[in-house]
Amino acid sequence: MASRALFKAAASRGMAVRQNYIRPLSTVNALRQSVPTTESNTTDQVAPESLVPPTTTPLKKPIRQSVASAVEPVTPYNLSIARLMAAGLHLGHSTSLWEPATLPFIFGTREGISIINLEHTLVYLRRACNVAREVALRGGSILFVGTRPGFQDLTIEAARYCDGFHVSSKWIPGTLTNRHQVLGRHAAPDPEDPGRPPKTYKPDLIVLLNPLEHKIAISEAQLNNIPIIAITDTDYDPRRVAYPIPANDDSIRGVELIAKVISTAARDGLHRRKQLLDQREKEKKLLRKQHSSKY
Amino acid sequence: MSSLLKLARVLPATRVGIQIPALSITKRFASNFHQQHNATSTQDDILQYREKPESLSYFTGNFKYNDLLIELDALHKRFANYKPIDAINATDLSSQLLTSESVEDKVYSWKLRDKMSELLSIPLTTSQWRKITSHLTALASLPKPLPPSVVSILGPYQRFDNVNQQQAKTQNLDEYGRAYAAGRRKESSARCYLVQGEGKILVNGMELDQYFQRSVDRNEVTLPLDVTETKDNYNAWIIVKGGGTTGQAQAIKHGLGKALLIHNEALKPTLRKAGCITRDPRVVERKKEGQKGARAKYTWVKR
Repeated sequence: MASRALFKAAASRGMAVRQNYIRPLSTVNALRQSVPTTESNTTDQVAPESLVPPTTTPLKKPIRQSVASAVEPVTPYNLSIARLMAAGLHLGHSTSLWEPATLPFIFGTREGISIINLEHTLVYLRRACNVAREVALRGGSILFVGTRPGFQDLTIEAARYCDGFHVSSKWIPGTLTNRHQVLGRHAAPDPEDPGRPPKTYKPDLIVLLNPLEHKIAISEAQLNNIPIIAITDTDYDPRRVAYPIPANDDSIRGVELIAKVISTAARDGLHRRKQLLDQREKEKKLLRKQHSSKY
Repeated sequence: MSSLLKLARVLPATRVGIQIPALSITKRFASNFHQQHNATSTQDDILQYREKPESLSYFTGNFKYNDLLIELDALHKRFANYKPIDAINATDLSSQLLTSESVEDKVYSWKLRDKMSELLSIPLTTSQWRKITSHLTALASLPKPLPPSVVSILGPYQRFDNVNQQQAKTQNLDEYGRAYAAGRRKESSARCYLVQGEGKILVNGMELDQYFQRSVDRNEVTLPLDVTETKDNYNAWIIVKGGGTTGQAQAIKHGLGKALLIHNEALKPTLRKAGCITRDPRVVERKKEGQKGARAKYTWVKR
């Protein structure tokens, strides 16, 4: 870095260095040629220490967050392989823990871990976003399930963003198959008919951020015909869920990206639904006016 | 092919509230999927109102509890970088010191599990209660003075009988200036009266050297006074019964320690370190059947 700066400084000062020799492949050669000719005090001007901000500057947010917010936010419409790679979604698990069913999604192996092919990730992520959008458009309820210790905040955020639901501490076995006991336990009883067990609801789509630990949840959902979107890593069979997304399930940044993207798509669907509902209301009002003006 | 069939099976079934006409009897293949789809779906079906649960945490099974934890977390995050603004009357140093002391002294004690369950109308287990109180303590540990929104939220969770408990416990000297305390150890109990005096000790009407022949026991009796260097300030009148010599000596030690505390609260840390305040809970362990003693077993026989 320092050598590059020095070379730039030397070139900009018009030392006639450029015209006389072919541009060096490495800046180290340039350094060797330019340093003897420059004076000592000029090298101080472009010292590497000056490039680093002083320690007194307050860092309010961690750098990762400020970088993430500086760049435009991730949506389902501006996904790219570069972004997925920056979030670390291509890093699979160790090759010794490999699930052979993930073979189509693996790009190769390196340093003993499998690398996931992000072209597939992109395609499957877009498909999952479409599913989420359409479910939200039809007024379905989306449940985000993420129970690893670092995932709790992002699951709750994603659920809140698209008016969905979350399970972030523990998936109680029987939430779907034993609904009346698990979910009906804390529900308020019917005001008219206290004897009757209260009404329980089912989600229409489940987004699982760590399917490896949720065998029970997956089997319950399958029994109730609820499709699942799940982040399937290289140690998990993607054929077990309806909409797998082959990606890294360990990196918090990566999972945050996926959860945010799906939740943004769902929010779009909600928005569209609201638009259609408003449109229908308007049409109804118009019809009513016409009727009343007729008679 | 199988995945397509799975899709075809899953998608139409999940759409609740659709009036599917007699067409539903036809077999569902990928080839006639769109036929069915277009025949039955209209804009109205998509936009039909579908009832949803109210709470964000409905599917956790305990939504009120989880919602509460989320709310407390969010509040904590909101005030993560809170720094209290300087008091308006910061120029007057003495008043500032007073206010800072009174504010920092406030110890938050939270309602116990039963009362908190009542308050929140959620049945709480001990671990759930502990989690809630840890979140509340985290909020209460923000730099003081606390922001008013936090104070208003923490208000209902506080336990108010704490004040009464503190007042009830103080012991006083009686009309003759004596402090009375009882000490116990291992079947012995000692009634100790401690008065301001020259340093005389009488046990059951006898002098200390007369009653306790062993110097070890004599040292035990005078330990509380020696450790606090108040040997010549107090006279002690002690009635002890039960147990044996060592037990009685240590019971007297316990009683004198407690009596000394009534005279002077500030000696507590010294006395505690010397071991004069804690009632020694060790007693003779019972003998169990099938064994020779409390721990000793009968001789083990191989056959």
